[in-house]
Amino acid sequence: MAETIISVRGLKVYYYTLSGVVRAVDGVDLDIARGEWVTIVGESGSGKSTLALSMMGLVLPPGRIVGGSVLFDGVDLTKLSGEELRRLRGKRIGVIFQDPSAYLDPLRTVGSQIAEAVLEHGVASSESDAWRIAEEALEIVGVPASRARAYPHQLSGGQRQRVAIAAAIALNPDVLIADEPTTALDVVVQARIIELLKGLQRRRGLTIVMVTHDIALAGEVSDRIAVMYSGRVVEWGSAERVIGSPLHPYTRLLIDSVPDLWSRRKVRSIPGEPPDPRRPPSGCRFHPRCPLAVEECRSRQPPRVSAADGWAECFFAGEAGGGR
Amino acid sequence: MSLARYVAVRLLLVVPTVLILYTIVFIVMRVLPGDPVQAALGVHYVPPEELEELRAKLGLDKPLYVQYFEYLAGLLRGDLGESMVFQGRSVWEDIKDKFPATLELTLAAFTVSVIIGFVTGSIAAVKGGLVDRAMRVYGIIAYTMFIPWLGLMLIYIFSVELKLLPSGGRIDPRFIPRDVTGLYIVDSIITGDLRALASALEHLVLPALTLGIVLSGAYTRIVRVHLAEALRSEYSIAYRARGLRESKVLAHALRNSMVPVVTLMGLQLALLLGGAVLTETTFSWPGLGSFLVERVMYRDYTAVQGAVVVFAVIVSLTSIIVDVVYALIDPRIRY
Ligand SMILES: Nc1ncnc2c1ncn2[C@@H]1O[C@H](COP(=O)(O)OP(=O)(O)OP(=O)(O)O)[C@@H](O)[C@H]1O
Ligand SMILES: [Mg+2]
Repeated sequence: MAETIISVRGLKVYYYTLSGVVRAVDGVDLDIARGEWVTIVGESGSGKSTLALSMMGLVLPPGRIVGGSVLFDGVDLTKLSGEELRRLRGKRIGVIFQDPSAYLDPLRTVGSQIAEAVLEHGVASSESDAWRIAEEALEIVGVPASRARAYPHQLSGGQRQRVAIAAAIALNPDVLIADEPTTALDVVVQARIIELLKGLQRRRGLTIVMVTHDIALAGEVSDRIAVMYSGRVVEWGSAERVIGSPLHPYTRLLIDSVPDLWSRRKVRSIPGEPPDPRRPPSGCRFHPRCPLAVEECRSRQPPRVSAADGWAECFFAGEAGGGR
Repeated sequence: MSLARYVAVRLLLVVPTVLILYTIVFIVMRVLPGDPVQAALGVHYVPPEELEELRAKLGLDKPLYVQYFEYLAGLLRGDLGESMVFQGRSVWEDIKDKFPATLELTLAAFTVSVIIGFVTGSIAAVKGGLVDRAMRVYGIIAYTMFIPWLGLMLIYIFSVELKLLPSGGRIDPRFIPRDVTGLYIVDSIITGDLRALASALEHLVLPALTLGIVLSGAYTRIVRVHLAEALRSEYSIAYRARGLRESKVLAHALRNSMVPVVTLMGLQLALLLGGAVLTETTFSWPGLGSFLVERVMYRDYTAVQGAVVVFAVIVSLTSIIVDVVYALIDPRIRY
């Protein structure tokens, strides 16, 4: 396997809210290799965004990293000062978000927003140079350079997401974090954006960490998949294997809940509700909803059972058929 | 609709606005007890026949609707008429004389209020916590403060006790600068008259502070709310995620919170002029406000009507300017 670019170790990110401590990420280990596409999947509230953003040291208040480390190219982000993190963000790690309209400043042209970051990182020697780099970035993502002078509201949703991608990759970063980059877009545009990201990964050796709740999409595009449940990565492995023969019963249920156009069978949604992240269940956090749960699941944190390409946190993961 | 057409429509709307205000003030002045003749004569005894004669000379013997339309006809020709108390004085000339004083005061107070509002509001939004609470309390206190009371407090402290600043007037009469714009500060700078500048500034400080502080409360509140929101917004998160310095993030957030602030400026305009009337009387500032109050006392119908019409036109025109500024700041706005 290629060189590791991001290494997450025992990471805990908690939100200190008035109604209690939300354990959004609660003990996560992951190694992401340079140039691969990793997708984090899971239900809403499982901590996907928190985990992905903490990989660039971005934790929004009232959140705090309370334990563990995030090594980016060998440097522990949790130990860096704000200024050191700032120099890394945008230059070596870029990010795009779900709603591209909200994440662009409505009062400024899209070109100036890209060019500003280019200037800030000292990559361009002059403003016109920065503007040229911004226009190039727009061309790369398929937006005509002339649109650099447009305001966000003058662009379509798909174009806005392309602009956001252009801003994220303008400085040729090693890693792109994409938090549900296509959820707000219609299906056709969705496919084009994914295609664009795939191209960037291939041509530039860009490492992509994508967040989605769509496990089918994850299976199609990723090299590896991390399945999150209630603040923990419960299964980790190659996309092919995770989709083809999941080890964790939660992963299996996620796959089964994907609507199938051809067989027209009824969609089985996962029974029960996701746990309250302020008071996660004891033992295996999935046990209240798990069809296989036994007494042991309630009392003990299941071990990490290795597979050839990853692992799953389940007492039954070692058995053939993976939790079936 | 283009901005130009929008402005044209707004300009047309000035006419009904002015008409309504003229009508209201016409009625109010006639409802108030007394009339210009009585007010001018005061307690002196004048035989009734002579009173009637004086009234007839001013046209007050005509039916009310005739008086109403005669003055209105004058307005349409741009004629504000003659004073009913100070014979032979043109109302327009008087207003033209007083206007620069009011403009100088309101511009200064406006600047003071916006600066105080932005500084306190930004500090509150950026620092949060205890500082935020202190600034919020300031905003509420300033907003609810009564102008004459605050003015008298400042006069007491800075004029009576500390003897640092004059308690009223616009300038030391010996130092009035050569008239260019009528704004003493501007004129004394243009003519390089430092003594006039010093005297004008020292007279301007307290009135501008009084009106500025009272108007700043609303800005403190609105800047605080909208800046805090802008700093938490998604585009600010995106700016930080692109590695922008916090000072730049703040600058963009400020620009975004300008949109509601400009709206407030438009809304505050009437308050600014209303406050100017109170401030001028508190500090014997010889502007339109003092003029208006004085002429109401004299029941100088034509002068009061003229002054109110001029106020209405000023407010209307300025609020059109505010809307244009608004469109210039926010590219999404299309009229
Ligand atoms: N700023 C915040 N303040 C308080 N709690 C937060 C904050 N952001 C996230 N959380 C909580 O942390 C948990 C994980 O949130 P996160 O956004 O990481 O989940 P997610 O898997 O990305 O969910 P979604 O699919 O809805 O985006 C949730 O319970 C959420 O309510
Ligand atoms: Mg999320």
